Amino acid sequence: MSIPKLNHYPLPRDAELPENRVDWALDPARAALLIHDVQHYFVGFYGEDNPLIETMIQNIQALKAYCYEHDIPVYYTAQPIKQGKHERGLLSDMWGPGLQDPAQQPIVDALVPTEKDVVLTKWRYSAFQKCDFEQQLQAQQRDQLLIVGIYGHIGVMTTAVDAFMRDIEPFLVADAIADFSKEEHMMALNFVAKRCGKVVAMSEILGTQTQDLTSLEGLKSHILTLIDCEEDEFDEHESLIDYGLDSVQVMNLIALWQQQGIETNFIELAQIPTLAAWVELLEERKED
Amino acid sequence: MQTSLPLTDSQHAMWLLDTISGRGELFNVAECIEFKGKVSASWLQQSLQHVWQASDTLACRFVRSDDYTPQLLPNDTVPEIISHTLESDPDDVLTFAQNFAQSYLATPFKLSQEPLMKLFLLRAPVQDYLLIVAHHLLLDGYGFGLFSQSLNRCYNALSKGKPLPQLRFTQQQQLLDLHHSDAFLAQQNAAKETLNQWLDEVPEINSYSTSKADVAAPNKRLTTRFKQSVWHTIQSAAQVTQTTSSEILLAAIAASLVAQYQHYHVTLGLVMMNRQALPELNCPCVQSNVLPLPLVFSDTTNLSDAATHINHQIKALKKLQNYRVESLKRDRQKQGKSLNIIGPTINLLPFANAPKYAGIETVSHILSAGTTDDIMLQIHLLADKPATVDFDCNIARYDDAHTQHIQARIFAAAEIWASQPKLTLSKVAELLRQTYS
Repeated sequence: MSIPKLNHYPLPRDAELPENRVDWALDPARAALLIHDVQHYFVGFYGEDNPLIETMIQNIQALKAYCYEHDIPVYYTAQPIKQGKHERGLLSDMWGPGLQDPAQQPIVDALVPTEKDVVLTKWRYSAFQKCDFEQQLQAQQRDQLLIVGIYGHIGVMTTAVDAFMRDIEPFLVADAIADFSKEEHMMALNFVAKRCGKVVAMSEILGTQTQDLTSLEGLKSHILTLIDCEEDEFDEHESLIDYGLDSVQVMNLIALWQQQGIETNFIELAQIPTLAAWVELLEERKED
Repeated sequence: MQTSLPLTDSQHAMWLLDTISGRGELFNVAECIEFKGKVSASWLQQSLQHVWQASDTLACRFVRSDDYTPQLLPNDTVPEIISHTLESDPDDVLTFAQNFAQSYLATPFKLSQEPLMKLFLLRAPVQDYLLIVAHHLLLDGYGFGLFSQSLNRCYNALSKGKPLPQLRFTQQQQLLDLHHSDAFLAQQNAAKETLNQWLDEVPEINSYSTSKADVAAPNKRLTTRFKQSVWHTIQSAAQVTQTTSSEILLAAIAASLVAQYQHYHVTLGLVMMNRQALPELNCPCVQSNVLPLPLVFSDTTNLSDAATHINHQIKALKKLQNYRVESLKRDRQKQGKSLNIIGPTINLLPFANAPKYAGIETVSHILSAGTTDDIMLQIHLLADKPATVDFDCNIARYDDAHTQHIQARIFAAAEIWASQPKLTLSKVAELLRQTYS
């Protein structure tokens, strides 16, 4: 009945994110950050050295630094240990007794809260339940909420729904949450984007450039990481097969382009195996 | 009268295999294109004619000269697409297509007398199905893809009332010129030396079976697909190790052999596309090769080490791929060394493509990719979707239970190692032995 052992999966790329129904713009003067349930207990189900958790934590660290820089208040949720039956309510029926070991209760070391941060006691899926979180946000004049942490399709998504019903604009940071599986992760993103909030990527908040794999420069810098060639020796009109690009790497590129709605295939790319010709083909396909 | 031309090394090797075995049907390959609607038989036939006549490596016969040397004789006669009407659409397309193709797959082509391709348009009330049976001497996996793509281009041009596209296929003589060039031959000589050196350094080579029984019947296939969640973990492990999912799968296959034999040298057979120069990439012909991929691990190897090593070895092997496996076996024989130069054969197939025919979607079903005398794992890499693996086995060496056991062990190895990339190979092998001893 407890939470299952969880595996890692690739965090969604920007091109995989669902289309948002709303066009809310994040305003640092209106926003707060919620780091949801990143306690040893919940993180522990992913096992040690889990690449998904390592990446999520790095991303949350970067986001927290951004929030400090922009005077965005930072909140955490943390569930208490040894909740009584009355306190835990129906959660016991669904998940068992929950957190029992005091050593498992704190937030993980890499994200330990500072004095500036507020740690809320978490009682139910939504961070707003049985807690004065809404009032605290009002006091800070915050009506936008960035949500990160675990688990995407349970507490994170439910908190977003609850925020929406309280007229607080939820922003789910797609690559700073983790879930039971990629399917459940994407389900949470799709639901929020379509029904109660905005799904955003780290790159959008931090204003960092993501590589455009359909442009000459973007594709070139991506391909240079795959082949043994220095940038100044690379010629965009030379065969990429001669440079050592292999069929499986080409297939991965095809999958990335597919996520952007551009259909290509291995055979047609192999017949014109230069960077310049590929970019030309991608331009044509974009116009189709 | 058309002039006959010599064969390329790859064509010659396939011709010899066919002739010496006396079992030409073992080298038949088949694919079924499922149309999600109805297509025009006339446009298909016109497209086939245009593609066929644009390439002398397709429009040909393989004849024998007076001194028994095989030659390619251009011949423009285009195969006719034979139509069959079906009363209802099949529930299970793959099984239906396999059953339909069975008798054609079991019939050898007459290399010197007929085109090496047969096509059938199966017309059901809702959908049509194009079944293609060909001899491996005509096309390999890439060649098949090039042929299908060209057929599709022509069909779509006809459907839009546009002129048929100009197909600039490489012709046999151009291919021969390339293969006789000094640079190509120098590369081949260097490859010969390196491959022999590699094999000299490799200890005993093992496959999943120790039987040496020859092929007595067509291979039997077990097809399985990774679960979506496991595939995501494999993709994530590929990111972590900065390789691709194919290296993770090869590491899992290697781990399953380490678990079985408890030593850390594994030599796989890897099917190489063997097309590097542009003329080779534009030729619908057979060119692929199978070469040994020697891998050296240790008990402390983790997934990152293993995947990086595999990646490095594949890169090294790519430079050697134009030296034919048959020539390598001949070298070993001359030196009095073992002819057992590869373990299980792995074929990575990234050619997935589902083109639309005048807006009608298609699904491709590969029915047979040839015959192996041991075991061949055909790994279909399908962009973001989970990979499908066909286990094609020589039934004289592997019964159904054995094949299922091998499949379960490899899939378990992939799941265990991808989930915990820091586990050592000895630990992964131990876990596999505990479950699958």
